[in-house]
Order: sequence, then structure tokens, then C-alpha cells
Amino acid sequence: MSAPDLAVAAAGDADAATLTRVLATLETVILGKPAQIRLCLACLLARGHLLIEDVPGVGKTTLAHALAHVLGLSWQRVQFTSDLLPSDIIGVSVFDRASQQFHFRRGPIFTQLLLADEVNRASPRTQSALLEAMEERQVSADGTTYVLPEPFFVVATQNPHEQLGTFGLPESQLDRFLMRVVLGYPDAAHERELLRGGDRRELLAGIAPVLSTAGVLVVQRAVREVYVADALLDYAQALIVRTRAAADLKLGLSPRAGQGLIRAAQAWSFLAGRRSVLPEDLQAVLPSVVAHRLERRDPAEHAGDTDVAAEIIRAVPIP
Amino acid sequence: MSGAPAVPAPDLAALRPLLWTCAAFAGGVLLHADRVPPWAAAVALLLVGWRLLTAYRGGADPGVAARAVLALALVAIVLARFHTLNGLAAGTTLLLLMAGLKLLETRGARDQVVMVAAGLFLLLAACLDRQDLARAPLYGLQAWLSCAALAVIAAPATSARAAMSLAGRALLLAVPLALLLFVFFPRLPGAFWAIPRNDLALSGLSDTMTPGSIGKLATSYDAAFRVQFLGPIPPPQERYWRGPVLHEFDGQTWRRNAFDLRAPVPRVHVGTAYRYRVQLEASRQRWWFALDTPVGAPDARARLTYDDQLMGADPLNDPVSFDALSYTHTAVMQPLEPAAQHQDTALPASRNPRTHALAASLRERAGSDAAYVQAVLGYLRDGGFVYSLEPERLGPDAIDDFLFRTRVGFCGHYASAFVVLMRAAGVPSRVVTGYLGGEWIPFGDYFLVRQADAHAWAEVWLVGHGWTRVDPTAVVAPERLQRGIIDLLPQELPVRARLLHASPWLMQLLQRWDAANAWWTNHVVRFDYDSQLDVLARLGIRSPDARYLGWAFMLALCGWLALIAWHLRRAMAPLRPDPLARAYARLCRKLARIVPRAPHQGPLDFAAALIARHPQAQAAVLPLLTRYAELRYGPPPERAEREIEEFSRDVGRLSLARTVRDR
Amino acid sequence: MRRRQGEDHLPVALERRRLYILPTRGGLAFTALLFLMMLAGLNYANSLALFFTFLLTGFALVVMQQCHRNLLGTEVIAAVAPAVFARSTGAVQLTLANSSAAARPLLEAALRAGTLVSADLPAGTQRRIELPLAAPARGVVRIERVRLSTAWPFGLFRVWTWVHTPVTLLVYPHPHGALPIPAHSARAAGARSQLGAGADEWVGLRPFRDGDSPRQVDWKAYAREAPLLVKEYVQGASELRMFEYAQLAHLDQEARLSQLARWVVDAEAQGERYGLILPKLRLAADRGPEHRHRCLAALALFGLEDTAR
Repeated sequence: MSAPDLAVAAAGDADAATLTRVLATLETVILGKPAQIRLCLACLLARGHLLIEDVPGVGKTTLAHALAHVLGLSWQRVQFTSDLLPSDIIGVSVFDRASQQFHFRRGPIFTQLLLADEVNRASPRTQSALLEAMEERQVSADGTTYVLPEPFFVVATQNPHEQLGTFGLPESQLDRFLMRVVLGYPDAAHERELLRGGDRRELLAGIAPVLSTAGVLVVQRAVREVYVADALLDYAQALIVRTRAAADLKLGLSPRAGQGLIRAAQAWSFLAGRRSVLPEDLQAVLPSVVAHRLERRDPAEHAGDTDVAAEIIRAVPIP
Repeated sequence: MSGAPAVPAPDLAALRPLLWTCAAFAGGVLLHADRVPPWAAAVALLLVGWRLLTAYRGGADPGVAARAVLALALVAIVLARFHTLNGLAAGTTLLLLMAGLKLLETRGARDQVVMVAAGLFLLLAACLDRQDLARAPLYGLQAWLSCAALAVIAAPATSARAAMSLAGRALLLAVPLALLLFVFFPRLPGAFWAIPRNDLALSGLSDTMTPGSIGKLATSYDAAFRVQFLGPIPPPQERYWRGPVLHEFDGQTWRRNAFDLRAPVPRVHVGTAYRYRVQLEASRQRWWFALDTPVGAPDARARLTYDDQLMGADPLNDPVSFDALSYTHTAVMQPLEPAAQHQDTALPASRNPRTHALAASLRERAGSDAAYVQAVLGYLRDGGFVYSLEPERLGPDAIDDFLFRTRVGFCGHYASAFVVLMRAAGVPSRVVTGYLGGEWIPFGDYFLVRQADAHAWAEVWLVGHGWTRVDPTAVVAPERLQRGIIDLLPQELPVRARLLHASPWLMQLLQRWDAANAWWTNHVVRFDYDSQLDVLARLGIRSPDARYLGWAFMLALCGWLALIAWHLRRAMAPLRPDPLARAYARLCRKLARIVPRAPHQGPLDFAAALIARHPQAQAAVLPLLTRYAELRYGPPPERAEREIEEFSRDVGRLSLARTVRDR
Repeated sequence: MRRRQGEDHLPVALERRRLYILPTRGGLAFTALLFLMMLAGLNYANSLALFFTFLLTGFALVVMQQCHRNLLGTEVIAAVAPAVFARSTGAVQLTLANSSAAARPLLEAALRAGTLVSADLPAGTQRRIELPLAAPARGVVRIERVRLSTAWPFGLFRVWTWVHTPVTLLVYPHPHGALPIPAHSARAAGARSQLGAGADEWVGLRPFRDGDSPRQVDWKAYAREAPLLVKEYVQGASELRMFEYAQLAHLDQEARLSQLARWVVDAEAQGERYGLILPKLRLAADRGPEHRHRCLAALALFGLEDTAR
């Protein structure tokens, strides 16, 4: 869809080069998914939380791990289960018998990248605890507020086909994820390479981080500086209005989703080495940003959610 | 209706349609303000004011009963005033009053549309009443106002400006069709039915004369008629325009002999034949003014009476034009008929004894009737008589009073006194009223005769000569023959007339205005079936075939409709894109020949698609599309306009054929 | 009125051949006035009267075209009807767009028997018009077509068209019923939580474990030198509530549905998880606007599925 090799000449400063290296490194770990990797990275650079949805075993966890590793971030992995309590994520007050006092023991959420595996298996109460922390980037326990580290990302994974004993995230909470990315099975060539290559996670150990915490923050700031022209806002607005007016969609995009769309497009543009957002950038991120937010009135009539995005893109001419 | 609850603060925006409705109706009322009885116009306007006030204040409207009583009362008053409800004046008055009452009960948009229709109906009545050039713009304004009112009624949010502009634009677009229809729409040769209209008198000569009555016309600048000579032009002293001939005198007032239907006496015409065309203004009278003395009736619409006066079959409700032939000198060989002899020597027996005595003494000294005429003229010339617009009032023996006491008078006094002196001596004579002179209007090559040129003179029967014109005013004020009354008595005229006269520039303006009026009357007001044939002939259509004309008309109508459609389509065209968008659209059009851009395709995606199909086009096309992306979506460059211009030029230079073929 | 064209697939731009135009009552009155003026003008050979007749005739023809133009090319983007509760008034939301450079004032939209709603559509804008639609009883109200018209600018003509776009208004049952929300259903019993507070049922004390909130520690007992104990509560079915049609056997069908709707609405408002058990349908416990809609839709269509389509 995009044309990365046609990048506007103004590209090529150091940050862009570094990011190219980040992408290249990620691609050696996750084979055959350059577009998805790029989307995931764009999501994080846009300061958005990521929802990866797929069947088990396609490398969701590896991807999250690799992202954290390459970006030089601290990370924690929490496997969500039905008996997981909010305190298991956020932290608990522990009674210190020696000092006869309570101490707050920080949970795994106090990290830069939290991989929330199979988030739909947890009870709604636990889910909402996580999602509230995601939104506010801080945690309250027993009347005290603890600020989460910067940057802070949640990469949540979810198995769409597993319905038994799971609690699908309600729409209001899905809205807090900037993007939803579907990995899908690798193609034949990469499948073969995977079969030959053994466990990808072992590869990670031998890879040096490309960026650091400070580097990620710099890039995040730079992403926010990517220029958004009025003409592009017009286009984005037309796209959003289209989702609200479409007869076959239950709900249109929320204003928060609209902001996210622009942020994601900025990041995508930055990854392509551009300094201003083009309609192509919006179109590239739209399916991932929109997919989990729009629902068909009559799901039976239409397959796959990305079709919704494609339909919207086709229906709105670029002004 | 009654006991309306207290209405909250008036919503001015909601009142807007009513306000415009009232304006459209009031406009119609004002068109008639100077024609209907003043109380009627005042009542109509008061009703408008009342309606607005009740709407604004939220007061109670009069109930049904009150309105019914009011309506009956007003109908009764109109009947009492006009003795009929038929006829233009009575009908218009009634329409004003009834529509004003209807205004009191306007509620919704439908009632308001009815009121606007009443306003347009009043416009129609005004057209039937008067068609002056000066009033045409007022009529146009009323049509405009009414249409704008319709716009506001249909969409109450419309601002005054928007409404006027909407209506104005639609009316302007309608003008070509209106002109087309006006020229080519078939006219009827005559009327189906007539409503009496002579109830509204206009200023001008009437069929009676008291010595001072003509002086009243002297200050009127209104046109009486216009004359265009088709050959020689008579000298000033011959420009007598003959009007009502008055025979009967009761000591104060001269009257026509209305019931004499005898044919004119055969006569001999002497001297130059003058052919000319007269354009009479509407006068509501039946006289047709012609140069003294006309030969026969010009056409079937008028006849020549036994006293050489042209008399129309109908009152002049509309301007009329006719061609006539006149000789300024005539002679009658036969003797005067006894009846005429009797009629034109009759005088009230017991009046003016001193005049009778003077006549007897003068006649005695004169040897003949002709010599007596000269003697009387000599008496008037040498008797210290003064020509003035402001003579003193005369007593019961008016002629005695004038001849022996005041000795100040206008033409009417002199003509009257002269004829009385003639008759007292047994010489048949009569008073002729009409006009003398006329102003040459160079812009239209015609003479304009104004009401101010009204005049009265005398005719005496001289054996062997027949009726002979004698103008006693000419001996008192000989200049009157050469010049208009304004030149003669400037100090006695109102300031306005004097001012006009003092400024040559204003005078010229006035003349131009009259020329425009003449053109208007001739070509617009009197545009009829014959004029239509004339126009067609000028267009080269000699014998118009109705079917052929119908087709031509339909064709013109369709052309006009297409023009309007085109005009409106332009107004509704998609938003005009900015220069950059236009240049990009042009680029895409050019490139569409090899790869069309999908509407949702961004510039770089488009470039990628293009290059995938035609790799050789990369060098030419990629920079352009990249530049567009930068200009459109990048931060605005310092000299954006210049860059856009350059981009636009480069797009113009792109030659696709070369780019694709050469590589 | 028979359908002249097939169903419209939105978005659709109104084209020439589907627009009809006729004079309004005002337009007819205006025509009559013109006829009268022409008769008078011809009869009296009155040029000015004739001229104004022709001018106003031309005016009417221009107005006719303006009126036609005002609707021609208007785009109908969408027509949807968000679900409402019975006994309230729903609305068909019609989204219109004007991509031309001139405004389209006073466009009117109406449902078959509905009242006229008018709106201005400035140049290059989109606008949503709400057409009120009564929803007396639960089920669906189906609208086959929407009438678009305009009499702008002078109200002498009205141009109109029918947009054949079926719109279904889903009407939830009127939420009504005095029965309290069922305490908890059998399957939810036993679900325990230590986090709850407030009016939940106190079960007993248990020894402190790491991770227990200090708020639930029985400090009074601790002060009496007892070991650190935690108060344990059972949350009164706040986790899962299943509403069963069968439980309300003493009510008639509509009253049952109303009561179930009442519970769904209340449970959602209180942020609880709830499910629905109908004779032929079972909706697993969940919450969120989407779930609420699913439950209420099931109630709305209860027993109507066969006739709804």
C-alpha cells in the first residue's frame, strides 16, 4: 500500500536511519511480517498501546519481546488467567511484620513494556484495572498514586477464536488500544525457514539493543513534530465522518480514535522518513486503528474487518 | 380571537414575513395614493400599521363581527362616494380597503401570499390607470418588492438583502423572456369588455370655460400632445391647436353645444397643406387636438364636427396617435345657416349693458363687420389693457367689469369679451379653446405642446370668408404668438417653473426627458398589433405566418430556458478548487491517458502505480507528484504562491507522449 | 404510490430523472394572477400590464428552475435509525451532503406520514437531519422510503423525490416493572471476592495473606492481640446476573419483556455483568453498550423473528 522507496527526499536524518535499523533487526527475528512489524513500531512510537490478535504460536510473544529488546526497554510479561487479581498486576501492600507497617510492593506493571498475554482470559475486574492504568499511566493503591515509568507501553495479546471461559474486552476498553494488529500465518518460504531455524527467542539473546529509553523518548517527540497539513486534516475528517454516516456500521469512530489515527499516521510517516503526513500514511494505519473499533451491523454479511477500512478508504476521495 | 392571552416578548425574526407582506401591500397602496380618495389610502395604510402593531405588541385583533361591520361600512362609503363599485377608481378603492381588512386576519404563509397577490393586483390596476414613463420604475419596484416578499414568506430566515437579491436576480433573468413575449405575443385588435374609467379626471382643457379657467393650466408643465410635421412647418403665429369650440354663454361660463351632429360645411382650403402626426396624451376627454383647421377626420376613431372640431368616439383613456392634414386658412362660400346664426349671436339679455352700448357705438362707426372687428381690436389695443395670469375677480356683469373697470386679463378674458362685443353687434362669433405654440424638442424632432400652452381665441363669421380666426390676445400681448407663456409672464409663475426656465441646462434636461417620454409612449405604451407587424417587417418577415412565428417563438423560449439552466448550473458547480488543486487535477488528467488515478489514491501511491506500469515515466512524473505531495501536505514553504505557480507551469510543460515514447 | 426505481444504494446523488416538480398552492394562485393580468393587458391593450405579466411569467419559469436546482445533485449519504425504547419517539437520521459551491437552503425531508423537517445545507457541507418516528410498541418499525423536497426560493413550486432506502427502527420493550433485580442466579452463587465493599454480605474471617488490602484487615481484632485477620465478604451476585424469562411466569409476555428490559437497563447502569435467558436464546453474561444492545434487541424481537424480515 505504501511506497517506502519513494520517500520524500527530505528523509535520512539520524533518527530515521536508526529506525531503519530497528526495523531490519526486528525482521530478522519475526520473519515475513515487515508490514505488521512496521505497524507495531509505529504504534509504540505514537505512544499508543498495542493489541495483537491471533491464534497462539504465530509469534505474538516473540514480537513483543523483540520490540522491548531492540528498543532497549525494560519489560515484563504477565500471563492473564481467570484467577489473576488486579493486585497481581498493579502491586500489593505487604505487611512487614518486622516494622509493623505496610509497604507497597510494585506489581509487574511498573515497567516500560508490559506484555499482557491473553488479556481476554482475565476477569473483567482485572482487565479494567489494567486498562485504567494504561489510560492514566499511573496506578492508585490504598490512596497513594504511583506514576508508571516513561515510556510505558502495553502490548496485549488476545486469541480471537477462544471464546470458552474468556471475557472479550468491551468496546469502551478496546478504544484504549491505539492499534490492533493481526499477525497471521507466515507464508510458505518463511514457514520453512522457521522450521529450520528453531526457536526464534534464542536469537534475541544475541541481538544488541538498537535504541535506548532516551532514544525512544526522542523519537516519540520527533513523531509529534511531523507536520499535519490542513488538507490532511480535511481528509482524516472525511474518513471519520464516513464511518459515522455509514449505514452498515453500528458506531462511528470516537474523537479519541480520530486523534489516535493522526498520531499513528505521524509515526508511520516518520518511519518512512517523511516530515509531513500524506494521505497514504493515513490509509496505511487506518485498518489497524479502525479494525477493533468498528463493528458491522450485520457481521454475517461481511467477512474480515479490514474490509471495512478498505471500503471506507475507497469511498472517500482524497480532496 | 378575543381575549388573547398575554404574548411573550415579540420575536422580530418571526415577524419578518408579515413585515414583508405589509410592505408589498403598502407598496401597492402607495401606487394609488394620489388617485383614490385620500381617506381610502389613509385607511388602508392605517390598517397596515394596526396589523403590524398588534403583531408586535401581541394585542387582540378585532373579532369577526367587528371586521364584518367595518367591511360593510367601508363598502357603503365607497358606494356613496362613487355611486358604483364598478369602474377602475371605485374598484381600486374597494380593493385597497378590503385587502387592508384581509390583512388583519392574515395568519399563516397562505394568507400572506394572498396579500402579496393583492399587492401585485394593485400593480395591475396602476398599470391600467397610468402608464407614464416616470411611473414605470415605481411599478418595477413594486414587482421586485412583491417577489422579495414571496421569498421571505417561503423562507422566513432570509435576510432583507438576500431576499431582494434573490428576487432581483430572478427578475433580471426573466427580462429577456419578458421582452421577447412583449414584442411577439399576439395582441388583440379590440377590447372584450370595458370598465368605465372616465371617473378619474386629468388636468387639461374641459368643455366649459370661465374667463379665468385657462389661466389655471398655465402653470402646468405636463405634456398635452406632441406633433411631428411630415413636411413644411407652419410659422409660430399659425400654430393654433384647435380644441373645444364654445357657443353658449350665460354671462359667466362658456359652454359647448354638445348635441349638434350636423356635418361640417364644405369649404375652400387656402395656402400650404400641413401634414403631421399628433400623439395625444391620455386626457379622459374626447377632443383630439389638431392644427387649425383640420381637413376631415383622420380615421374611424374620430369625426369632424360641424364646428371643425375633431371628436373621438371614446374618451382618451390611453394615449392615441393619428395622422392629419390641415390648412391654416379656409373660406366658406355659403351663407351661415339660420340656426347657426341664431346660436352664435345669442347673449343673456339682461347682462353687461355697458358692453352692449360700446358695441352699438363701435358698430355704428364701422362700415362693415370686418371694419367692426378691427375697431374692437383697436379698442382692446389702445384701451390700456394688461395681459396677466392674475386678474382681479369679476362681478356679476363680468364683461362690463373687465372692459371698463379691471382691464387686466388672460386670454380667456379677451376671447370672451371680444365674442360678447361681436355678438352684441349681431356678428356671429364663437370662442375656440385649444393651445397656441409648442416647444421644439430637438432630440425627437417634434413640437411639445404643454398644458401651459392652453389658449382661447375667437372666430367671427365674415360674409364671403366664412369663419375667421381672430385672436384678441394677440393685440394686447403680441409676443404671445412667438413665445410661450413662461417667457411672457415669468414673474407670475411659480418659483419652480421659473427656476427650470432660468437654467438652460435644466431646460435641456427637461426636453430630453420629454423626448424619452415621447419614445416611451410611442414605442412602449402604444405598442400594438400594427407595431408588431412593423417589427416583424423590419426583421424581414413580410407576411407573418402564425405557425411559423409560433415555432420561432418556441425556439426562442427554449433557448432562453437553456440559458437560464446554464446560468444556474454554473452557480451550483462544485466548489472551485484552489490553484494547486487545479494544477494537480490537470496533471492527473494528463496522466489519466496512461494510468488513471483512483479518487482515493494519494500522490505517492499514484506514482508507484504509474511507475509500475510505465517505468520510463519515472523521471518525468515522480518529481512532479513528489512536489505536489510536499506542497499540499508539507509545511507551507516561504513563497508558496510562487512555488505553486511554478508547479502549475511544469505541469503544463509535461508532455506525456514524449515521456512515454522516447525512452 | 408505486416504486418507479429500484432500491437506492446509499450514498446516492439525486439526478434529474427522479425529481418531480409541481406548483404549490401559492404557485397556482400566482399563475391565476398572471392569467388575470394577461387578460386585462390584452383586453385593454395595456402595454405595461402585459409587460409585467410577461416579466412575472419569466420570473416563475426562472423560479421553477432554481427550485429544481436546489434539490438536484443533493447527496444522500446515509439513513439510519438508532434503536429506541417503546412509547418514545425514535428518529430516522438522514445524512445529506452538498458538494456544490452554492448553498441549498430549506431542504425538506419527510417520512411517509411524518411531519416535514427542513434544514439548510450550506455549500460543501454535510448535515444530519432527524426525522421523528413514533415507536409505540416494541419490535421493528420499517421505513421504505424518505421524501426529499424543497420549495425554495419563492415557495411557488415544490420539487420532490423519493429515496427508496429501507430503514429499520428497532424498538426495545418499554423498560418497566417493579420487581427488584434478582439477587443472583444459581450459577453465579459462590463466586467470591475479597475486594468488594459496602453492602455485601459478610461471610467470616480468614487469616491474612500477602496481597490482601489493608482496608479489609480486621484491625479491631488485631488490636485485641489476635492474629492479622481479613474480613471476607460474598458479593451479592454483583459479578454475574442472569435474567430469566421463565422466572416471571406470573406476568404476561409483554410485561415480562418490559421487566427484563428494566433489569438490563439498570444492571448496565450499575456497571454489572448480566446475561439473558429466553426460551430459545441464551446470552452469556457480559456488559458494555454493545451487550446491552444485544440483550434489548433480543427482547425487542422476542417472538417476532419470523415476521420481522
